[in-house]
Amino acid sequence: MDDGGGGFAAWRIVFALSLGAWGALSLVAPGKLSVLAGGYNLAKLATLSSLALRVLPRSIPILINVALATGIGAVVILLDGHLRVLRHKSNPDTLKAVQEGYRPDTTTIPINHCVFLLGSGGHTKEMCSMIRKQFPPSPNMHRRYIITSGDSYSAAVMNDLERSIKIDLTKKTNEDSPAKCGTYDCYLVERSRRVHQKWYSAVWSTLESTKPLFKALTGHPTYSHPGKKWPDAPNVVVTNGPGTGFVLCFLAHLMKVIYLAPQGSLKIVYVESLARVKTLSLTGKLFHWTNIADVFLVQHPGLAENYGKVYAGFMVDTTPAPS
Amino acid sequence: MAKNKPTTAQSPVAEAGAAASQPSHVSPPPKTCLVTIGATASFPSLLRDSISPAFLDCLIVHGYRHLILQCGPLVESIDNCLESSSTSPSSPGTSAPVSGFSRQPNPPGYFTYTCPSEPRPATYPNQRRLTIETTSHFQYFPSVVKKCVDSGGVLVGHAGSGTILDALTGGARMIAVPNTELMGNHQEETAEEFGRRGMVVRGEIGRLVEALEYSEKTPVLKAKVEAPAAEGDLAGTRGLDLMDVIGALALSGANPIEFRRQVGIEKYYSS
Repeated sequence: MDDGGGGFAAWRIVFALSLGAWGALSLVAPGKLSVLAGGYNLAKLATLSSLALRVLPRSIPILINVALATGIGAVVILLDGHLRVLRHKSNPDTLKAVQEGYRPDTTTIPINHCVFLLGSGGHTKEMCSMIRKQFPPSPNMHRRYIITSGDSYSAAVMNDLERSIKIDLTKKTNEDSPAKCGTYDCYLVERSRRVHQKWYSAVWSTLESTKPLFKALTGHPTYSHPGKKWPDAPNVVVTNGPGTGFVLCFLAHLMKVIYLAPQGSLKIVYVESLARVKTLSLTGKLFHWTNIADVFLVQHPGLAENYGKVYAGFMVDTTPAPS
Repeated sequence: MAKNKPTTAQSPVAEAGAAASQPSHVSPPPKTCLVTIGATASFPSLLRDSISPAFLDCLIVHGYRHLILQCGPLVESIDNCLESSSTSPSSPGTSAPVSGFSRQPNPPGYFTYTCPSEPRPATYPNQRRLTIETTSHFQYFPSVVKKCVDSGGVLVGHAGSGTILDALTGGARMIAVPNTELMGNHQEETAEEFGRRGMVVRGEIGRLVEALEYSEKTPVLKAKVEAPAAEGDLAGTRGLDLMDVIGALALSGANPIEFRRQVGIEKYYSS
């Protein structure tokens, strides 16, 4: 920066920009973690863009130069973060242990906060069937259901699920203790692609749906588990095929990339729909290409072979319900 | 229900056999057929097929008295369709009296279809009428499925995973008709795969009658084996449990030390 004013102004602009970003971030997701993450990302961005500024040619106008440098810095940060998160994905042995019959005892963590995305019709039905199949007594679990709005069916199925979880547990443990079911709440969002909707109009509605999804990932419930620390981010995010599911998991991934969530949280589970036998659905393909899911499960052996995924058998409950 | 189920599934055969042996007018209890297009996408061609005279005649021949149509947003148009065919024979000069539809006076969504010719088999001698009920959606689908199963009837629906799951958990015979207009035509695969496993009967638009005939011939659902028995299965073939997977991931992320202790450290690091 020996040529005086220009370089100095650029520094100031970079700092002002990143300060603004930090402020915006803190407003959107208030909390200790977001401030720290903001500070860390800010420092990184400033360093990287000042480096980029030195490399960029001086002949072009300074504002464009600064914008370019900031852009380069941001891309490098995101790419680096993305690779870091991929490196620290769940160990495949975690799944292997479950396949070998390991049943985890999650009461050793304060709160097990899981987010389930209920898409529409069949997706919802499958998800609820999978949750209900062998629901263990879990007093420290908090389930958050994300329901796509205008879908009264999903809400009805969710209520049905919660009721049957209660009944099942009461039967299983032989005691009347609804506390063992844990707690739940639900969020409503706009769905990102309606059936038969064209892809270009789907892009806009997808972008619109990110804000409520982000709220669903960061929001605390209106009531809290007394005496327990609420986790900074959900422990697990589960989705099984609706398009909104990818947006949700991409947001979750992004939160890990920019340090908005601790690395051990927001584990992504994708279960391919029972309806897919030979080819992956569009959402499944997106997960396949981006490789962001910690666990990718399919329910048909041919599909597992075609894409090299874990064959999980029928995870849904197909046995006739006793009544 | 689990105990009663095999008897309800086999009852049509048993009753038919009894009726055939003694040619009196003792007919089996009337059956209910349920046609559903699911909650999400609409499927007009299935509905159009299921109110075609050929299919309705076939239903009557097999002892059905009641047809429930779940039409979703199409309920208006189907009602209009039935309405127009029920009024057309009365108005002079229009189509032949082939369509034996008539509107029932008191409950609004109800129609009656009368088979124009004499019913062919001797099993159901004095029955030519079928009540058609239309509705946009069900309040609680499993209870409707149960009603259908208890009567020994069949469930006709699109090959969506939700409907198939409802049929399986309800213990219903199902004809799954793939809706070919959906993304990547995936319902074709689904219907084929579940048909191969004997969990549903695969139907086709335009060939619903054949599927019904086949389904009536094989009333006992083979699909009561609870998990896939394909080659290369997991040990136990029961399928992974989602809650176990979630628990293991949450624990390994939030408290890795405890997770390793639970699994056993040597197992966690092996291979």
